[in-house]
Amino acid sequence: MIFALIATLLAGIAVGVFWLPVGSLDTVSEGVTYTLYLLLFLIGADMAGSGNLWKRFRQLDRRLYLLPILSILGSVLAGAFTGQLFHIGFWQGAAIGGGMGWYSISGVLLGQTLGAQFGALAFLTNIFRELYAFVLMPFLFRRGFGPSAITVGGATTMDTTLPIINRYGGAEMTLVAILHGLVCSAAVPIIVPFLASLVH
Amino acid sequence: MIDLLLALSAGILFGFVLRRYPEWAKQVPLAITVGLFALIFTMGLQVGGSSEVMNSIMQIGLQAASFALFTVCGSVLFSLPLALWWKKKPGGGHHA
Repeated sequence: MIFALIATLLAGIAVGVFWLPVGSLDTVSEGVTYTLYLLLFLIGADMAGSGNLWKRFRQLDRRLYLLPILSILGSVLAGAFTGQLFHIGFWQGAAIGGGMGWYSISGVLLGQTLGAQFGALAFLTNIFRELYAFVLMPFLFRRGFGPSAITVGGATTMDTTLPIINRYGGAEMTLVAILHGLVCSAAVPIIVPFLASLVH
Repeated sequence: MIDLLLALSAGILFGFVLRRYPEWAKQVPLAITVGLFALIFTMGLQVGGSSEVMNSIMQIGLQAASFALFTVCGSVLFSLPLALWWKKKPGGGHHA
């Protein structure tokens, strides 16, 4: 199943590069959006259909509320480290790391504050993060990483990567992923401009 | 974000209705799997079909791929102690 998912992703990229007619990208984007809506609808139905949803929300381990904070902290610090490694700057790297996989907004925000070069780097970095999430999450869940596996997806865990989490992590991890995605999505528009403002 | 939450909420309401039709409810996981493949394929299509993204990959791809890998590792490593602590709890690590 995992390899089938990776093969599907690679097949999609190959078809996109070699066979996608020019000008049809908007149609594809619409397709992604509607597929996502349908999947979220189905995940909601699955969650409600497989037991008492509200009871499970109430019973969710309170410690897991810390997950998005640790996830953001780890990403920002690793971004700062990578910024130093590539000689592009500590705070610039931290700001890119703060994008948490939300490529559209982090690319735009950093493009506006630090320039087009950083905008492009943030955009592409966060696209890669989303692609890594599709590939790595199933392996990490299988290896017993549990809630840690969710953090790979960053802000996407309440949208595009939620189906993967639902498939490999189960119902409890789906609830945690929604919480994680909500907090990360709310934090990105705040922390990215803040970290970018620290650049001298 | 609101539209995504609305889709999820509509699904939850539908799920409550679906409890009366267990035969249909059994088909939902299969539909999710099919939808998952469709989503991943179209996501790949979106990346491969965007000349902007593909040109960026040629120019700064390695740097961006490394950045993404390090930030993912950062998130996983920072949350790992919490995951291990959570698993130690009786019943922790079991899916509801």
